[in-house]
Amino acid sequence: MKIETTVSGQTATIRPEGWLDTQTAPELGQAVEALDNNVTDIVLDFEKLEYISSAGLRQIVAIYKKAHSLVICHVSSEIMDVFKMTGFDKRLNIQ
Amino acid sequence: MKQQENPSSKKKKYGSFLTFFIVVFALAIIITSIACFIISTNTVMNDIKNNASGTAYSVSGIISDLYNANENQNSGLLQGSSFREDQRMTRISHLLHYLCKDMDLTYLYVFDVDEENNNLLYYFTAAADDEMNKKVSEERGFGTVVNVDPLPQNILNAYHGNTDGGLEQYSNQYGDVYSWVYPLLDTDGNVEYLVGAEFSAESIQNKIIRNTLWFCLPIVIILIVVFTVMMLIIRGKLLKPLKKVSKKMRHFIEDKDTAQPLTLQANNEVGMIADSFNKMQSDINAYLSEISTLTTRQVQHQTQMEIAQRIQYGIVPAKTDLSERAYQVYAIEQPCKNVGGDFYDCFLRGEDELCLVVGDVSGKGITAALFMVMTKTAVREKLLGGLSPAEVLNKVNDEICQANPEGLFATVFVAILHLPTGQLTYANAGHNLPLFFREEIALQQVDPGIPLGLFEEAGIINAEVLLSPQEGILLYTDGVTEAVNGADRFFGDERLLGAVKGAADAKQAAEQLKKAVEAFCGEREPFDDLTIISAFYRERVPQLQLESNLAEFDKIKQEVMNMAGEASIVKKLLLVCDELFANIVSYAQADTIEFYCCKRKKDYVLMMIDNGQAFDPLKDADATKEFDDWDTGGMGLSLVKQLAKTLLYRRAGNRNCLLVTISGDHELPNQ
Repeated sequence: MKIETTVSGQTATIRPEGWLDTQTAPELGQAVEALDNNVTDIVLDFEKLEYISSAGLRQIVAIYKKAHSLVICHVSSEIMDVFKMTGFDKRLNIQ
Repeated sequence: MKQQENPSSKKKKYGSFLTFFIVVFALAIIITSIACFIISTNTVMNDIKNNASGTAYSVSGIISDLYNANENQNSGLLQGSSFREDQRMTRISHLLHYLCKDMDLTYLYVFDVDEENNNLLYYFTAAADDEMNKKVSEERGFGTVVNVDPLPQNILNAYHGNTDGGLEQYSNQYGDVYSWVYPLLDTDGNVEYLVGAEFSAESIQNKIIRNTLWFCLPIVIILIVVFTVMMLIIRGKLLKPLKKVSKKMRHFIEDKDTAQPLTLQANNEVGMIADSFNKMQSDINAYLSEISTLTTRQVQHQTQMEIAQRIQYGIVPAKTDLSERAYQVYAIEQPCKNVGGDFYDCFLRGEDELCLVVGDVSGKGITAALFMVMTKTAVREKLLGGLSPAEVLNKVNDEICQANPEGLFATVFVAILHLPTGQLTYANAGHNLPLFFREEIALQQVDPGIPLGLFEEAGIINAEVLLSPQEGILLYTDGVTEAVNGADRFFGDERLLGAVKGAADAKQAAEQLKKAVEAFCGEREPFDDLTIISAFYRERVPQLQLESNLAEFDKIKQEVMNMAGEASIVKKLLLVCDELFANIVSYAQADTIEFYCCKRKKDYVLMMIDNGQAFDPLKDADATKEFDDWDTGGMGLSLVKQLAKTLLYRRAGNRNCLLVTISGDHELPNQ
């Protein structure tokens, strides 16, 4: 999976592209792991994300726990459905 | 329309009973006549004889008076010549002549006999007829001697003192005569002279005839009158009524409908016949109409049953034997004598679905048969329209309730076997529980529903089960469970289960059961139809065979995308597959995973079968887990549950089978 990462001060913006499923989910985790320790705010830009499965969701939970703040933006309607089903929309900051 | 007279009866001419009477009468008359004749003859001859003897004594009286008054008593006629000159002779002749006339004699003569010489010595001879009198007076006058050889016996007898008279008959120049001769005795008892009285045969015959007639005629006339009267009476009172009865009898059948009773006014045997005939007529008519009604009813009933049977036979095949790669179906239908309205149906819907129906209609005969046809057709039509079993039954129920004047109902069971996956969807409308052949052979508890045709809004619901290959079902009607044997026992559920033990396919199961029922019933005739239909799931057609490896998911992805095409639902489908697949790979410890997917009407069906340890993913999931705890894996299953329309898990034959149905609608079914 292609993941684009942009760091700006303490904030890192990660843009996954394509399918975030069981196979590709670890890559997201690795992308976050690769960030510097001073990066505390994560922005997940899901504009190019077509699909997410529970593996991807688990990654998001892990990121949420680690980071100081987490924002998810540009969520497609389908992925929003998934967030709704799992109650993520209540817990996470989704824009 | 007058019936043709029986040709044989036309040819036969009937005589009359009266002929007999006439013959008898004729005989009677003849006999009477003969009797009269005989009696007359006797009477006449007696009369004549009396006449003769009477005359003889009169003669003697006359002569005595005239001659013996003044003479010596001993002097007889033989004393000579003083006679001849005497006026007394003339007087005597006259007297004799008139005596003849009076006494109706033909001849009368007084004479003597010279026996030695066979001579007759005449003294006086008279005849009734005047002319003849003159003649005989001259020819046989006083003193005439006639030689007669031999002398007639009566003359001789009289000469010797016989006072009998002695009838003799002879012919001489004076004609045919009957003669009586009497001796006249003097005071000493000696024969003084003889008197002969003669009657001509002719006069005697005339007398006899006259007498006969006088005697006969009245009798005959009376007989005739009596006979005629009797004949008329008999004809009127007996023969005519008999003819009437006979005529009525001959036209009995053609007059049947307008038959009037015979009216013969009679208080005797004739009346008896008329009354008996009338009774017989009304008896026969009543009997005929009873038979007619009975026969009609019987014929009607028979016809009904025949037609119902023909309908049943025509619509429901007696046997079905289908054997395909994915399934085997075997069905038997044995209608009983009084066709009971059972039916079954089995057919493919599309390429992937096998539909099975079994039904039992209440009642018998044509109405039940037609109701059965209607129900069977409606169910088939709705099934082919794509509805689920419950929907089919509910809809058919509503239709039937709209048009059910006879108030019939039908119990029906419908099952659809989805051949790619083995998913069996079924619904019950008051019918017998189905027999399921799975880990064990058992009656499957089903919501009973309600028979079709009773109430609208039946509210029948679907049930689902997942069949593995080599598993099957058997449907039947209560012609099986309620079959009776000679001891009035029912076949029952236990025998049902016992009968199919060991059966490995549809044909075995059905045949075993049928034989068991037949053996149970023995000689007892079945009163209900015997219907058995069994279907076994044979083989799942493989679609994808995968290793238990996450990387294999791409293949699934490909398969799903091929199936679903551009539908926006694809991502949801993949999400479900993803979660399930990941779970199996992670936890089932399986070697291989089989994957099936197909579109079924608007829904999508996904199936995963792995050969790992018994693992029911549905049991594990707990939707109320805390958000923070979700990275332990429950999230995926929660998603699946929320996305799926139905989820079925089955552990069979060392396989975990998981079947998911996802609705093609965009709304999320379970939030």
